[in-house]
Order: sequence, then C-alpha cells, then structure tokens
Amino acid sequence: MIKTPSSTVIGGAFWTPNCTSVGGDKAFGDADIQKLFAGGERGFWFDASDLSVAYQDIFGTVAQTQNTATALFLDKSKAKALGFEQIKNGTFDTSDSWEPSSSIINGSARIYSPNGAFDGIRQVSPLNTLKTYKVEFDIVQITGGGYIALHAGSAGVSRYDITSAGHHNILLQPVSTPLYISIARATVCDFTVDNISIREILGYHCKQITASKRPTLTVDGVIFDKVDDQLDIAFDSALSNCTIVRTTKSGGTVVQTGQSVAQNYAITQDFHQLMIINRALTASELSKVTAYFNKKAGYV
Amino acid sequence: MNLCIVNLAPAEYTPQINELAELLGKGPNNLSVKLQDWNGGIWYGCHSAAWDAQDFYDFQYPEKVAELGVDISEYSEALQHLVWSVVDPTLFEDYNAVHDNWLPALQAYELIEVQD
Repeated sequence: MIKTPSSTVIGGAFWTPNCTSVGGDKAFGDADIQKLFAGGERGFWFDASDLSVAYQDIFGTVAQTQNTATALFLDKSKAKALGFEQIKNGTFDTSDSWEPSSSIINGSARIYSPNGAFDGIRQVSPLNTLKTYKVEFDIVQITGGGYIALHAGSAGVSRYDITSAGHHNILLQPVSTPLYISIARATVCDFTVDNISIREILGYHCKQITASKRPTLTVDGVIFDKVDDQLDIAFDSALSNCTIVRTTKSGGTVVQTGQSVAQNYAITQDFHQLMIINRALTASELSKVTAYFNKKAGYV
Repeated sequence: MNLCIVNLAPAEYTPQINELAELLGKGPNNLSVKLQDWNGGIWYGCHSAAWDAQDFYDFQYPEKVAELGVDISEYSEALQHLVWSVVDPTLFEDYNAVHDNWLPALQAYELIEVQD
C-alpha cells in the first residue's frame, strides 16, 4: 500500500479512494469461476453449497433444503443468465402468433371447455430439447385446471399442470420435437392466461426425472446412494480435452485432465463442487480453483 | 422427514409397479436395478431417499390413483408381490444406503445384483 495525502488510515492500513490494489489478495469468488467459461467453453459447474440452484422437483417449484432429494441442479458456470425471449406476443395484445386466434379475447387467452372436449392455444417454437427454460405466466382465473406444455400432447417433464390462479414461475425442458408451446386442457375447464414468457437459462443443467434415482443434498454435498442414483446431463455433442474438477468435504479436490465426456453424461459420484470445462486450465487457474472449492467444501 | 426405501418386485410385475409409481408422480422406470433370486428368477429393485411418509402411504394404499380415475384392481396383484424395506436414516449416525438398507434387503429375499 502507498500512503498518499488523501489516504485514510483504516485499522493500521491506508485506504486511498478510487485507488487500485496491485498485488493484493483479491478474493477469488464465483465470478472468477464463471470467467473460466467466458471464452464460450462448454461444460458446467455445480455448487452444492448454494441451495438457490437446486430443487426437489423437476419443475423448479419446490426449493431445495438440506437432507432432501435433488431433482434439478442448475449450472452456475453461466451465472444463471437468461437467453432471449422465445414467445411471440406473450401479452396477447393481438391474436398474432397464436392458434386458434379466436381464443385471444381482450388481451388474454381463454381456454374454455364446458363439455370436456379439448381446448387450447399453441404457437410453433424454436426451443431446443437440450435446454432448460424459465417459464413465467399469469393465470387470471381458473376453474377445473389446465396445463402448459413445451410439446403438445406430451406428458412428463415438459408438461406442467396448472391448478391455481396467480403468477407462475417454473422450469421446463422439452422432451422431443416437433415443438409447440401449448396451453390446454382436455377435461371440463375455464381459465384465462396472460403475460407468458419463456427464456432459456443458459448452461448445462442436470436433472433426474425418476424419484428413486435422485441423490440427496446434505451439508457435505450431493450424496449418491451407490445403488441407482444419478444426475443426467445432455450436451449437444461429446466434449474432448476436458478438465474435470471434483471436490468432496472428506477428500478435497481431485483434478482430471485431458478427459473425454460423452454427450449424455451421468453423475454418480458424491460431490460438493463439480466442474467440467472443455479446455486445459493453467497452473494458476487450477491452484485458485482448488483452493476455492476446498474452502467451499470445508476441506482442510 | 424423508424415508429411505428399498422396493423389490419380480420382473413380471415390474412394468405395473413402475406404471403405478409414474401415475403417482415418481417418474418412469423406478425399479431399474436388475436382480436374480436363488432360483434364477429375475427381479428389479430401487433405493430411494426421495419418498416421504405420504409418498410411501400413497404407494402402498393408492387412493390417489383412484382419484385419477384409474382402476386400482389392475395393480393389486402386482402390489401383492412388491416387497420393501423402509429405514429412517436419522436413526443412523451415518446412514449408508448400500450397507444399512440395500444389501440387507437383498439378503433377506436372497437376491443378488446381475449385469445385463
């Protein structure tokens, strides 16, 4: 540190407003991990110390708590940044982009089936089956329930049942193509929807749609039962020359270099921190990542 | 509190058990680990820490399935052949799914894991 005329003494040190610290110990943090991916590298980073990126259900509506099973884990390598809006005319200001247009009334969409016959609206979507999407919408009023799906007529992870009015904020993954975004019901119903937004959560997120195969998140990290648990990730293609960094509370950080990773990758080993990046890290980067992950995991 | 459950069923009843589990919101293919009994018969099993007490009740006494308009009797025979081991993991100092639940359950029913 340099003492200047405008410096202030703080705890025995000098602080100069607007100065830049050179050679100091700037804390390494989440943003620095994310910078490793700033060149467009593929891979992921899962952080078991951050409960805000894990969910007990596949739709991301049940917050993760300690000692409960994990169904969905969001990749933090892209800081949960959102992609472009995928919905056209989500506010129903006109009848454009939706079919049938007759369901668009007074700035919202009404799904109405007095006799249980199918009724719904849909629009063609460019969504990607490998991606996870943040879906938001308002249900103005509802009787009888309905659903929103990223593939018309499908069941499973791409379909979410709607049972209550209000603002809904969920996560969906398309299961197959061709893809439509549909809001519908095939039994007696009457509900009105408005303000639909669908945006990708950037990154490669892992999930497990089968309850018995879900690992448990504990203070020690994500624990797999070694019987049938696994978290699945789908890349758009296989990765090569990867660096794999896995940290556990009991064993610290283990680094593997030059690894190949399959397009459909399954995580089956316990971790507190887990990162895969498709490039070699420098010695300095590895040293900082190892120290940071060990600290997060409580490994001493 | 979540319970740790081992479910085991002979292969001929596995499709119905898995179908019932999916109807109850547990996702597809829950019984997925291939097993073999002393007589060469194939079974399938699973271990889960994802089931709470209500889930367990729903699976054994599936009134919820009836609410969905499904005929429970279609599953009654399969359910009669489903066996399970339920453990409260908080009773263990350091619960180990394999050693504290999975392997004891397999031993109790004289089952071993087999590879495809």
